[in-house]
Amino acid sequence: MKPVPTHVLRQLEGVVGKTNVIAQPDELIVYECDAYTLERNAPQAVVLPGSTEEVAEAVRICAHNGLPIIPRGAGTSLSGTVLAVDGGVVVATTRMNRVLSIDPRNRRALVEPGCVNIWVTRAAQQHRLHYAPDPSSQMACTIGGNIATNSGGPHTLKYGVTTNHILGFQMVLPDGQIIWLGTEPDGGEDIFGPDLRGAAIGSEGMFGVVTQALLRLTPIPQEYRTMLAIFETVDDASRAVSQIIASGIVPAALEMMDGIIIQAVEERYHFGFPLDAGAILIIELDGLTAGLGRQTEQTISFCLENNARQVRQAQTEKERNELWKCRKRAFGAVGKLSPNFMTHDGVVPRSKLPEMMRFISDVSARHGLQIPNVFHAGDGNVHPLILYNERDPAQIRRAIAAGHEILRKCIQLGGSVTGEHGIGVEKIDFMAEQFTPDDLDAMHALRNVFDPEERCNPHKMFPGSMRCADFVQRKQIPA
Amino acid sequence: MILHPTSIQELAEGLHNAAATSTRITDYELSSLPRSIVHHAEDLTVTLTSNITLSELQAALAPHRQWLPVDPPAEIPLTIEQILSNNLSGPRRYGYGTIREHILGIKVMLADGRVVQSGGQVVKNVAGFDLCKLFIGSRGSIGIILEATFKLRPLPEAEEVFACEYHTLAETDAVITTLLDSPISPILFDLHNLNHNQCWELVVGFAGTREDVAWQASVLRSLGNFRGCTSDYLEAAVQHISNINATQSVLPSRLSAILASLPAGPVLAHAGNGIIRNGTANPVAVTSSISSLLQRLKNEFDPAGIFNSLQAEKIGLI
Repeated sequence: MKPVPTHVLRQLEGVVGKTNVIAQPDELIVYECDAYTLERNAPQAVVLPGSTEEVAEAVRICAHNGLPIIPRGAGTSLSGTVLAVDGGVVVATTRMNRVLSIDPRNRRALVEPGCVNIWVTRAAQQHRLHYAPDPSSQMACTIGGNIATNSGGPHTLKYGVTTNHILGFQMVLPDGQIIWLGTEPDGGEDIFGPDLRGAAIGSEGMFGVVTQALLRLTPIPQEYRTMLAIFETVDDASRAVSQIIASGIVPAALEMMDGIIIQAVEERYHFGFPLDAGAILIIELDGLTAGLGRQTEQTISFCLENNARQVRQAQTEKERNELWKCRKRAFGAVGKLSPNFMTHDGVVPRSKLPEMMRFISDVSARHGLQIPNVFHAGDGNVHPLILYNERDPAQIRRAIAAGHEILRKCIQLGGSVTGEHGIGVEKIDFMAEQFTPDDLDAMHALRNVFDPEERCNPHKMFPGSMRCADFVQRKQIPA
Repeated sequence: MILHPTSIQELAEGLHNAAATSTRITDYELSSLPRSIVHHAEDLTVTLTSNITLSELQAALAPHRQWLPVDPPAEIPLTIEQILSNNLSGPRRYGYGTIREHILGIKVMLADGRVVQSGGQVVKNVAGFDLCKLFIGSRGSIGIILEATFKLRPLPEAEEVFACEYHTLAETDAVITTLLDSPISPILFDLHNLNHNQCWELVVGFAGTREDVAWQASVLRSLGNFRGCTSDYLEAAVQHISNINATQSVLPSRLSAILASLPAGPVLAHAGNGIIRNGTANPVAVTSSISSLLQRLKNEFDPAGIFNSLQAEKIGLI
């Protein structure tokens, strides 16, 4: 690993200010991983620019000195997406966090990349508008990070994911060039030529640093009907999901929690979930009041037809918010069950959900590991949480093996190894299972368009990438 | 050179020949390639070959009460390949977006004859870069789209379109603002002067449950003298748009000002989206940084230059 020469640090300080360059080893520890903690490595330096021009200048200095750059938002990614595999300079957007403007007439918001996801909705709601993508980490994660990972969330079932809500964005390329992709602020929404904006969304920080984003705002629905359906088994709940979707109803969200998660969440948040339930569905319908009554009745009857014990409706906005809080903090509640967990986010066609859930339960039994599930059932996007104790190396190995079996099953059922979290470093090896060498070549060609030197967030995505352990002595407990 | 392959292999050979002889492929006709539509009704997805026309697809989906919610008007049926390559859209884009919002996966033949895939068949997927988007609007300049997978929507229970005439653009502008501030959520929001009587007609469409549509219609009628015009309007729109292929895209709030500045003549605009269809395209200003990025894209994906170019005359490089 090449250290950042002192004169380069001075140059970076000259651009962003002395206090906005971090190079002390003890301070760099904060930046050694994201929420994927099985691999860690500190970058050599972190810069915290305050403007697009500062980003561009800092990136140019890195380019001139052949240093890797790693764009970083809030670091809430789950696949090692912002891991500095062989060091390099993290470009953190923390200071560029403003909502620059809300344009209610054109339903657009212009924000800086470090702006926290929920802040956009907070700034827009006085105009009865919101920013629809709502990842569970929305209180912390940033718009720049959402663009890099094409984030989802519970409400993507009806509203789509990040790429469906980003009109355009400004990006600093790895050579320091400033470009705007897609719709420009005050510009028309159609852009002639290939959709480079779309091609760069979800590129996991490998194409450049997002420095400004133009977001599409969506009217806040006139009304929500939020239901909690209680089932004896995951199978029954899965069948209810299929029947609701097949009926032509498009719920805003359709989320499942299994028995173990219900108990953990109830113990932590005391919502009033029944502790003996096998599965619950959180079903949210939204839209105009006129049509919601009949759709709610239909939804309830589909649940009851599939042996739901009970279907409750949130009676107040407060109750609805409480229910969503429980769902979005479910990962946190798992801390009560186990010192460590790893989560995957494979996707299967909705109709294969029952089969997938049975497979996960089988994997859990075979490996002797608890695997609770809390997931986006309407999208077929599973989130098995594999519980383990990192002080037991054998358990770590079993947990990794269990995860891999689940991901392979997703591919086998015609799905994908990741619906939201991305490849990062965690799932690199699965790219070759999901894609052919030719598919990967085409992706590589696209990367060359943006980053011919492969200096932006290197060693990610592609099979054969170097790992931390190839560069440094492994620091964490061996897996 | 115009390619008219009868098999995937023949298409690849055609590309190889073009590269070997440094010949530009000016057009390709995919209608003789194998055709298939695989509809996963329960998953609300469909995978189909790109030579299927949109109307064929909708006809196959309709018995299951599903559809692909795009509606580029055309008198000659458009294939999926044409819609994707040219990023074509129609009046209902206000409610459902353009084709990029619905694509899940793509299969493409690259310039060297290799067939590659991106995305997949599931509704959420972030494995790998999103090459689906790259080919939307690429006008056959970097590869040939062979197959695509889309996310579908249930067919709405009801759909109705209403229109109201106004004498001035200032009036329509005020009504548009009122409608945007009201709780209705139209799927179609157009403005046109096709009736040749010096009037502007605002057209608003709703889709959804019967109750939703009825309620919104009543709100609309309380705001103006709107009358039902579903099939009349959609037919007129098809006719107009079929003859007009150039569009301008402007910030929606500037629409009235820009319409007022246009020379007299028939205009149809998707008011909610700021899309103007009057036969003249606005000069597309592509910044030099984007043009160098597009050049790099071309060099990576079509180094021999056998496909249509991403040239200035096509997309207004400056």
